[in-house]
Amino acid sequence: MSTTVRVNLLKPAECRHQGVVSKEFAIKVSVWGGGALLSLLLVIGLFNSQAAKRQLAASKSAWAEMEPRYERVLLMQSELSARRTIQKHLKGWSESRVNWNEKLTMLGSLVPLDVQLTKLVVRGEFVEEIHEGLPDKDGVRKKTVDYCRQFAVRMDGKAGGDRADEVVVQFVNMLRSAPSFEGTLESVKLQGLQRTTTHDGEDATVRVFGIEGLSPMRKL
Amino acid sequence: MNLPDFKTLDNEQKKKLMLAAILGVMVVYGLVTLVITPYIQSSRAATTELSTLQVKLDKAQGMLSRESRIRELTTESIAEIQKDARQYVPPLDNPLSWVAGQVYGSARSVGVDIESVSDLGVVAAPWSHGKEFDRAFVPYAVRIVTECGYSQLVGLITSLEKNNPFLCITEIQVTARNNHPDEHKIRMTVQWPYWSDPQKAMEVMNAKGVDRG
Repeated sequence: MSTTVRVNLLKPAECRHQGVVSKEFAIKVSVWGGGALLSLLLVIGLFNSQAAKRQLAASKSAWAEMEPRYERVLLMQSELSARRTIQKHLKGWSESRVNWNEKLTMLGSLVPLDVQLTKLVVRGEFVEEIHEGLPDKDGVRKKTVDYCRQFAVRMDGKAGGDRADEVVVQFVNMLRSAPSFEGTLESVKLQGLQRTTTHDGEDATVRVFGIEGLSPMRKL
Repeated sequence: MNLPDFKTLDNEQKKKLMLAAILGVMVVYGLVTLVITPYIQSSRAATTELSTLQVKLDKAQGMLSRESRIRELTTESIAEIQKDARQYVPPLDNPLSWVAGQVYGSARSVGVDIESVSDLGVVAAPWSHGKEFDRAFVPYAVRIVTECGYSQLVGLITSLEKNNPFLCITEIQVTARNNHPDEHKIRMTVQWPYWSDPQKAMEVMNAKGVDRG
């Protein structure tokens, strides 16, 4: 019977790791490598930070030089915007009006021979056109107001002849469809048509009528 | 240098090693808290400030590149307003006399004899009490009364409207006269744009073109 005895004469501190890389080596590499990497990152950070600070100082100096001129141009821009608003408001005056010289000239040529206008009244007034915008994030719709002019036209007259009623209706239709009144009168309505007897020298039967029209709103 | 085996160290050595480790952690912590973090923060603040400033600089440069165009447009705009206002807007002092001059001039040119031109003053407009109170113009109105033929009326209106692109005839009342079929009684209301704020008017009318520099 044979007995094998294994004797280890090495102290634990004298033992060596048998693998490719010792534990001690791995720890050293980790510590020194980590330190080196951290130092590299710090150096890069320092470099970038110094560069940013230098650039900031240069930009501040450029801004200090540019700011007064920029402020002057901003002031000029706001002045231009105020002047343009005045021009816009003034332009609104010419755009909102109806050139009655053209309309009255055309009206004179549209009135049939058998029709006599006894009264013509044009009346314009200011109106507000309210627009509702799209809802904002709180669901509130912002309202904007446009100031406009609107004109109402009233014509009273009389028509003679056997077919006076037809003539009046034709006149109304002409006013509705005449290109010269397009955009000026958007609704033309016959308000009354009745037979009456006049006593101007000799008695005659005529039809008296009233016509009303309304312009679309014209932005001021 | 070999790393000591922790197991082989005696208690005194272990204590020293622990103390060294704690001290090391404290040094690293102090370094991070007192040096690295403030440095990173100041660096970040500088970068943020730089990018904000860069945006401002780019905006300013864009604006400055348009400086001469803005100056030109402002000067043009002032000149146009002054020209229009001198020609077509009644003056602040005694507007009726200016307006009457225009009306009688137009009437004379078409042979209409004006019966009266009466002052209706500044007429209420919806923006007079709204938030657009700062509108530069309010309506100044007069009432014109006359008797004339239809073609003469058209002539008078043509003359008024051609001489002033901004006036607005807001009322025309033409009534036939029974015994004179060619003559009509005419009543008209005409509005002119009138400066709403005398101080603003003076400011605009006295403004010069924008100087260089």
